[in-house]
Amino acid sequence: MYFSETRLTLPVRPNDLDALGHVNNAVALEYLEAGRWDWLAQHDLVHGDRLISVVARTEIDYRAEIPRGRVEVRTVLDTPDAEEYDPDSITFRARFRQRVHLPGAPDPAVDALVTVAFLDARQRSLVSLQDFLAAAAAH
Amino acid sequence: MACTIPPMTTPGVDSYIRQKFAEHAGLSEEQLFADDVTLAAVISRSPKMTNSIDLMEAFAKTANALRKDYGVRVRLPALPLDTPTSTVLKTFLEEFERQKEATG
Repeated sequence: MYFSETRLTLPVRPNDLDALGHVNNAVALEYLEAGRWDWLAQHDLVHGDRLISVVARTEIDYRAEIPRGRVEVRTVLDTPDAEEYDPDSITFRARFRQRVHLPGAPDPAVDALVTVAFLDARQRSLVSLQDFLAAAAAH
Repeated sequence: MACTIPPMTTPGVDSYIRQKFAEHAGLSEEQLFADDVTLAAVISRSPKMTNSIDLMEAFAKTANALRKDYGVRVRLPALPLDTPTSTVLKTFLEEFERQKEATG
């Protein structure tokens, strides 16, 4: 089985809102980060201290206002997909498709592609996705 | 500067690596190897790269292709961004031959 989509429900905190009474654009990035941590946890992957992931690129579209209430962050590994992923190969990037939905809304309020890379925190050098997953699964 | 190909290199591997790396960098072989540019210049010239992560991904895809087509697993060491492409190619070829010999 490959990595499935995960869904995380979060409350909108009062301090997430800006002067217009909707979620500030920068806070949406925090929701996405929470979604990725949840994605790891849902797949029994533990982020260690040695091999870590870092965000290398974020492409984000804000499609609708997010008011007070709750949001659902949907996270799926977009690249490499199930066909591309080969545990015996090497890849240094993983790209997540992440969407933030309002309750009952079919279309996302936020639609993002987040590219992450992986580092050995001690050596400060890049490591592969395969190395990261092996270490995270072993924790 | 011309690339010094290590002795006893498997025929065709040199051009295969050049071709695959150029393909994944989105540049021509001439743009990559004719002037012996540095890796920093490769990132700057490439329409597919914005940082060293993209560069490493191009190396990885080249290494993955080598494994599939030649059955040899190559892992490059970390290379500084001022490394010229001739040195990268030489390192690739040396690693290829070393791994090929090690795996019989």
